[in-house]
Amino acid sequence: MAETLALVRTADFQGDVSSLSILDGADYLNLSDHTPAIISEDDESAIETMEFLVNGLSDDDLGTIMQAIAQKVREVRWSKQRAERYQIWLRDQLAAETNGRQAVVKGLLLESGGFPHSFSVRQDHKWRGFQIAAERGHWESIAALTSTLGDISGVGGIADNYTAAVPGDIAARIASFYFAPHVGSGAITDCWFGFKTGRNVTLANWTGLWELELGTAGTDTGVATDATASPGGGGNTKMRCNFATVATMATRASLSAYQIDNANFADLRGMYQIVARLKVDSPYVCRVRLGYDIANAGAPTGASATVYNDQVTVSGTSWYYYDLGRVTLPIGGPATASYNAMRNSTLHLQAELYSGTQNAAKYLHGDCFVAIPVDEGWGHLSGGSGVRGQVLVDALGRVESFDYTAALITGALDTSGLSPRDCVLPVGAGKIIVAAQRTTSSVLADAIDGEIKFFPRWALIRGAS
Amino acid sequence: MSYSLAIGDNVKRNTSGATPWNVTAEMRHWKDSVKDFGGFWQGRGTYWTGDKDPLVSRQDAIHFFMTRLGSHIVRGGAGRWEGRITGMTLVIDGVPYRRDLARLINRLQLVYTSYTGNGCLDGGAEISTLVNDGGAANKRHAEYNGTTTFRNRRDYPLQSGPHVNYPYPIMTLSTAWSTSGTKSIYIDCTVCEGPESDDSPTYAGGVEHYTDLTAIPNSPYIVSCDIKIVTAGAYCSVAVEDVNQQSQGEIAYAGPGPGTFSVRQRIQTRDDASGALRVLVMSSVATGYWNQFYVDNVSVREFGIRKETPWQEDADSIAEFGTQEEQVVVGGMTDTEALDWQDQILLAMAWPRTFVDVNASPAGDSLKVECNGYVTTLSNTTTVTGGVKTCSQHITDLLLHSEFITAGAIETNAAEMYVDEVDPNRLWDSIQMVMDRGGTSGARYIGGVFAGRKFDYGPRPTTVKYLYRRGKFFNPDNSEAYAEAMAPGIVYNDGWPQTTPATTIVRTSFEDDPRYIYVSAWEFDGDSNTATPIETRELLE
Repeated sequence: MAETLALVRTADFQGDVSSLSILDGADYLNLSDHTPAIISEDDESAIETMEFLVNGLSDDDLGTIMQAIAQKVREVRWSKQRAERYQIWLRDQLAAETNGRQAVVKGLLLESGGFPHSFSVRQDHKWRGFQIAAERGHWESIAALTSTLGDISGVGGIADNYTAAVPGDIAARIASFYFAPHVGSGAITDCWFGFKTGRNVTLANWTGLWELELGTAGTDTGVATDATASPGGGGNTKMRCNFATVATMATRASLSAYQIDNANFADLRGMYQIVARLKVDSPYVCRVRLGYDIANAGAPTGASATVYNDQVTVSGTSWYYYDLGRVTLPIGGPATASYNAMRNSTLHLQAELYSGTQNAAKYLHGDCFVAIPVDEGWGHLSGGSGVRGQVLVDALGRVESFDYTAALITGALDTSGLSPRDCVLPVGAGKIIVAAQRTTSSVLADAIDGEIKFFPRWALIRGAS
Repeated sequence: MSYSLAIGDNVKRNTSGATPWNVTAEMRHWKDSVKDFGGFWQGRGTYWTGDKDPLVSRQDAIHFFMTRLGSHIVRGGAGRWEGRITGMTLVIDGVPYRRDLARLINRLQLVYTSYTGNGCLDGGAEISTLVNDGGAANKRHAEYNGTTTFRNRRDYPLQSGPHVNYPYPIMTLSTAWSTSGTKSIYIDCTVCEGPESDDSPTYAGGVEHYTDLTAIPNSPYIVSCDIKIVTAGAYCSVAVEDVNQQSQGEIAYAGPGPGTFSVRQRIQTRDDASGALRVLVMSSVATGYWNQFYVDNVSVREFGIRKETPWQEDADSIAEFGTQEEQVVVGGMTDTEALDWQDQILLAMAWPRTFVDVNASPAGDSLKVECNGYVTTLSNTTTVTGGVKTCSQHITDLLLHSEFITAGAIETNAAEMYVDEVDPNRLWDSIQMVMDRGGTSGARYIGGVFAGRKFDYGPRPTTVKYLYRRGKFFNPDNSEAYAEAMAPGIVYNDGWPQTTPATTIVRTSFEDDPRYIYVSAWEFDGDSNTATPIETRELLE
């Protein structure tokens, strides 16, 4: 593509509707000055200004271009209406830049600069000093890239290299993400997903499926086999607690990074949302919470205090994911980010028998923690019919979701767990981990298929990437 | 990392609490708070920033303003916040419009004083013309003030047979004394004293006040009049009769004179009472019946009966916003009037109204959204659930009456207390009383509504929850606390200046030590991704 600077009307996954060159006079606008902006990854937008020589063959040409620019202003204004499909994009490509890029225009202001009765207009139909100020988002790829997800287990399934390394120098915008049950799976209505790169770990060693049976059994708790439990770690096994001696809140299982992976525990570093796969035997109702500290074999080490997240109620007799809140490894923050801090960073599954008569043959069952990494890109979608759920995030950050019944959109998903700023793909190679379940149960054999359509992003120049 | 914000339909229809409309980008400057007494408390944000808003159009803002009141809203992230949209202010073209649920009443009962007739009779003596003055020549006469009648009366012997010519008391209008207006009725019974051949002296008499208040059998009335007795040692009696001269209720007395007396007597009419009621102010026994006295401000009023209208509701409004009931105490009125007024109030208040908020001082066009946690719905209904029970049982029982909230984790608290089970209390008031009660040995309890509209109740934490260092809050393990998930608890100020030698703190609990602060409420700020303590609590505050 030749050197380009244009205001283009288009939308995600759509062709261009119209284009107005603002570079070389093709549409009477010659760029005479430009103050480009650079938007960091944490910022949403910036304003850059451009000045032009409007070079008409007649005064009527000046009218034509003014009206064309005014139309772009109107189209920018339209783009914030929910019913509007298209946005105005500032499309840019340097003369020898291999690939083009574009940024959504969020606001467009015009400044006349010179004046129409000037000597140059009267003499040559040239209007000097005309300016525009554009508030725009990040530079993005003009075309979306696609990553296909296939047969990823709903119980902490991980897909390595879900795509070729994501290009860019800013995390890519996920414009579309959908999940659907893999063949043979039930209706999947609840899906957590998170991405992990090798930013601070050796990616090949990383896992987010943390089997409880690898840890230390706590009060009234032991390991038991269960064909419906995740097969990782110690096989199809789980922890189970019957509250035989202590019914009040107590640690039932502890799991350190070292116990998860005694060789590569340092590669578990990161910030996670912990979803636990749990169930109870009727008529137990249990209150469960996550505690974390620096501990050795289940006992806190030194002066490390245990931090507790909010409690959740577990009353279902089928395996189900419960969101136990957030934790960062190594525990204790940067000041304690030593080898041993990572090794002994420990999660505690605490539980109390809240209601139901204690019975030695009745249990709270704990299968695993699925650690959803939240510091590089993640989301949680729920609801819908379970046939196929999709979420779209447009370049303005607006989120829309669809629930498909077969080929038809029949509703929307619950997107309260999805932030458009977090719905991004980290730059580089990475892994995706998934926790997916049905409306009332997590079934071991369930898996998802899916697709991610994303736009790589850059702070300024894209080049050949 | 960032938070997410999504809204869904009103939970009355959307019982699962789904929030399909993600407004994270559109709702700018989001803040929400959590309290130890209440749980998820308040939230607020700006959905539209005016015509230059890059995300939301004016039309979308107006649509939001018109349709989203009562919508369920959830903020996600490391922690969760839930509530519903309870108020919005839309400033458009400089004019601030407001809609909110605070004024909404969709279930109503009036408590009123029931009257059946004219209960406020004017017994003043503001009569323009004196027609006759009684005495021997005028056996009996009446003075009219347009609505009431005063007549002089001789009590005994009766005006018949040989006594037909016996004199009557002289009745005149007087400006010498009054308590209502400028005039009173002056009664001079001394003229009644005359030669009798077969009787003892005339039993003087007095004045009758003819009301136009039709007697209702077996009904309470208040009789009142003001009397100035001139004659030393004299008394006046005040009584009520019906049209058949049947005495109605007790007789009251004023005296002895000289002096000024205000008679207020509650009577109950007989079961055969009929016709208009009359008030008699008569000379009474003591030194004699030949008294001189003034009478003014005579009235008979229905006593009025405390009544309650049946609860009346707007089912459609309840289906949309949940029950917001009010028991309104009003003054005296008829039963029909009360029902009509109830209709009028419901019609006017069962649905949110849009009004121009004259108190707002808008800086520019915008749509600001206010939310409340579901705990506030506990203030929308009343209950008489109470008695003497353990605190945790009270909480459990009270929550059964909530429309939006169910019991979550209710920790056992065996301390007993009495909660009013006679007069209706707001649910939240009763629950707050129970939480204020605390437990045994000084234990304090907290509670509130959290995720899934569950109410949790339990002992207030007594261990350190956060450390405060140089403007930031940390978990006890030194990791930075997640701003979206802060919970009420004890904060240790780790940056407190140390003294040399170290100061010895005498204490029985953390809070006795100035380095520890119990933070009862936090506010999360989405713009800065920080949490700020916004309240500390004293006991029973």
